[in-house]
Amino acid sequence: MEKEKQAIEVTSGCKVFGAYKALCGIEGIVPVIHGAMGCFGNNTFFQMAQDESLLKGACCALQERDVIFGSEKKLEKTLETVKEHYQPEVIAILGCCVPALIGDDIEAVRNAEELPTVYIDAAGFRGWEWEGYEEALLSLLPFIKRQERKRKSINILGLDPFAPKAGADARELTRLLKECGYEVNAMLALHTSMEEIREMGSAEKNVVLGGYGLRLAEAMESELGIPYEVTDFPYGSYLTEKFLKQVTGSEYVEDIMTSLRRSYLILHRLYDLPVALVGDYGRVTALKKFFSTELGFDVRFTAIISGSPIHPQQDENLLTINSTIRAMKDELKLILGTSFQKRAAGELDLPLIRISSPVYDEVFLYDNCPYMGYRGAIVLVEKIINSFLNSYLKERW
Amino acid sequence: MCFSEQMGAVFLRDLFSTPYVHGCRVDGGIALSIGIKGNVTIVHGPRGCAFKKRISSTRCIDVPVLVCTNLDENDTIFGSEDKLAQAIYHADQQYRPQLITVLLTCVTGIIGDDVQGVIAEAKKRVKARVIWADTSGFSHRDFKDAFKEVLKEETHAYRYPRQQRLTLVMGGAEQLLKCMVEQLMEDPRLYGGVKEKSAFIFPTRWLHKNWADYLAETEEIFQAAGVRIKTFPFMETEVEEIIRLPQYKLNLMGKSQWPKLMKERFGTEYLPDFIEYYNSPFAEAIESFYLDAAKILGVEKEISAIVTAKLAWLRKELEPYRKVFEGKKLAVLRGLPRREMPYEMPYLIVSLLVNLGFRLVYMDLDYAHLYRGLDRQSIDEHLAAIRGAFAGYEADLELQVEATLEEEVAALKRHRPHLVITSFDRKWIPPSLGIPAYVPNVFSVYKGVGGTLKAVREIYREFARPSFYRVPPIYAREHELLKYDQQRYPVLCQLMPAINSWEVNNYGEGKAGNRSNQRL
Repeated sequence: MEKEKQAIEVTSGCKVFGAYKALCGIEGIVPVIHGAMGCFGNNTFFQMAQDESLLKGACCALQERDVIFGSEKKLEKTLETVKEHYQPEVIAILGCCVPALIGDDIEAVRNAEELPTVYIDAAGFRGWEWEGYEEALLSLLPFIKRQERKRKSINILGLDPFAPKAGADARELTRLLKECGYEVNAMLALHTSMEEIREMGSAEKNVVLGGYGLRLAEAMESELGIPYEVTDFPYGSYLTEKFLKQVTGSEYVEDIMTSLRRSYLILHRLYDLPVALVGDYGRVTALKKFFSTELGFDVRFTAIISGSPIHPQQDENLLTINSTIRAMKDELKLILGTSFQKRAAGELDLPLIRISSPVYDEVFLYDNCPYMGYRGAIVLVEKIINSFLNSYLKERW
Repeated sequence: MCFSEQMGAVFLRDLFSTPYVHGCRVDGGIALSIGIKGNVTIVHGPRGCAFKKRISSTRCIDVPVLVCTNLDENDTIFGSEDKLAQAIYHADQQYRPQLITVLLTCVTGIIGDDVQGVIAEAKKRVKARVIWADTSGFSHRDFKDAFKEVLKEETHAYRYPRQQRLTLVMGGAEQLLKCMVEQLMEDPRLYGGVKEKSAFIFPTRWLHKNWADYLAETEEIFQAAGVRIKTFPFMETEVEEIIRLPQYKLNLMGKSQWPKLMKERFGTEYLPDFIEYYNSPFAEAIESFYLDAAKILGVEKEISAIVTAKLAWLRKELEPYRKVFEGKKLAVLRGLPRREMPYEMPYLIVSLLVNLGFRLVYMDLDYAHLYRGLDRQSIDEHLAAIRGAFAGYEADLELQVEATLEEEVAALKRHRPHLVITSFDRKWIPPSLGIPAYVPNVFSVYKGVGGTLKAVREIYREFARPSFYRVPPIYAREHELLKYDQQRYPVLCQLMPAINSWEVNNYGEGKAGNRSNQRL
């Protein structure tokens, strides 16, 4: 699908949002938003809506005089401030629209800087959110050391701290891989240190979830000889089993039915449940498989609001997505989407389960309660059932 | 309960008002424009500029419609005029609005498209009215200068409440209001000229439900005096009403620059409303507001009679509370530093309580987030002005600046106040010492006669709660785990690098830690 030419109601952020969510979860890196203050606020809002204790980054807060006289001095000052207050190992400069247009000499500032820096041209008019994520991860390549490979050790690429259940999903994947005898070397980009980034070169292979992080994986293969595999996000028991087999060769299976049978009657009732699925490419494709093949849902509508290197197309217009959902009024019983479907779900009086970013109106505090993996399958089914049971029944005649 | 009072919206609003989620002018433009019925806002810029803005920072609801021109690289080279024109036609056909508001972003602010020309052309083809405002994210003044100016103006206002200054320039909402004056409002002669004895209140942003109550009360008082008055509740403002605003003789809420512009263009009189001295919750200010307005409208006699009766009724209603509160000790603990209303709230609420007989014994104020941008003299002058405002009431007031949690607790133990005014993040402190605490609604100070009574009733409810002692909650006890910054509680230590970086970078050259927790 070609990029929308006409005016739209946007569903996903711009490059700087993607770059920021790739880097803010890495300890030792401080992202500097080289743009106006709103560019910083956009990111920090979504970040803090998910984790009030995680705020990392700085902003040059460019103003009128910087547009006229150049913003290099402001960037220099911001780098100094960041060094003083964070003591970072690496500073990532995320160039927004303003410096891209006024043509600042960012390279000169970087050359004068003693600390390692990376630069991501993240101007909003230059690309989509997922492209910013890819470029930000790729910028880490120079830090990854070529070294002896450790057997049964993998890097996972494709996560970010803005996604619902990010921490819990990361923990579940680590647990399952451990059960299969594998160790997670680095988990990009969530709770990762620069030391782990450097050690990424020791992994047996890279696992690219949903295609996210593919650019870095490709570069690591050509530069460091580390192979990679693209997998689905492991939602449900079938995709989890497939994921573990593909990544580790193990046929490790956990029993989910002992838990699910406590609601076996309800599960029968949920057969053929008409649902709408809205989210990023990785999540929508994987969840569609889980819902269709394992739970027997009727996935009537899907919308991919943010693409991936293996599927660059995206449904850009929120108006079209939400209008379609509204038009399906009587056909749908459940929406699995983002916070941007809240209004439509409210109008249709349908439960909304947030499964993909952007999410600003739900927090996920307990990291042993994932959506991915075997445990995640149970949690997700429980969440779906309760979304119906918990709703207040309005008697209508 | 309206949606802005729902707890979920309150959580988000707390996040938006912290000193680490910064919006730009586009946020202000959207906050204002979404309150206008039949309006569709177009963000003329790349997708990212409209993405986060779907959640209004003032209403904390998802914006029903927010169109974006979704500019790409080609548009920055070849111009984005066609895209803007298409967006306007698309919005007009798709949503059938009465008004289309175009908000410029950084990109369109720099590439210099002929926005005016595009809009002039588009107006010929669309049914809706079209206006535009330059809300480029970079087009704000230096924060350091701005804070200094704001603090100076407030200091002046505390000392001389009747000599308001009007130099404060607000963000995107102000910019859009000025554009409405220039592009939307029409010469009153087209509609039969200015109506004598007429006034309006146009809120620059729509906040809490209290606003609606306050507007209703104002309408009632002016109408009773024969004044034709118009107020604008959220989402009920018709475009046609904005167009005809110059028909009114008096702008009752003349905050900031746009009333000046309205006066220049249409001769509309205005009442300055800077630190909300007018209509703050105490009788003298309410009286001043109505009498000042009445002078301009030529209804002094009528208004005076109505307001005098209203205030007499209020005094009668307040009398039982005054008896209860008389001589009781009051303390104020500052809360999380906010970008909005960091100073006025304690002043207004405390003024009310002092007027009801409370003795203000302790007050802790917060300038921490401003230190780097402000010289010591400006802060000292501001503190002295606040102290001066209460000098007539209390000689033994202890005023502290940025006390730590320990110092605040020690002060409460020392003074043993009967009531503590604080914010939600410190509400646990007084009950841990067996003292009741009241948290005013910082998002919308109670206003007018009804608001005053409502505030007093709420305060009394807290004051009269059966004496209780409650141990501090786990999140306040686990200091070692959570690691709060002691000076800026409840900000976590791990957030401080980001906050410090922001402040040093934007407010000034100084270093952290020039706190002066002095007793004045």
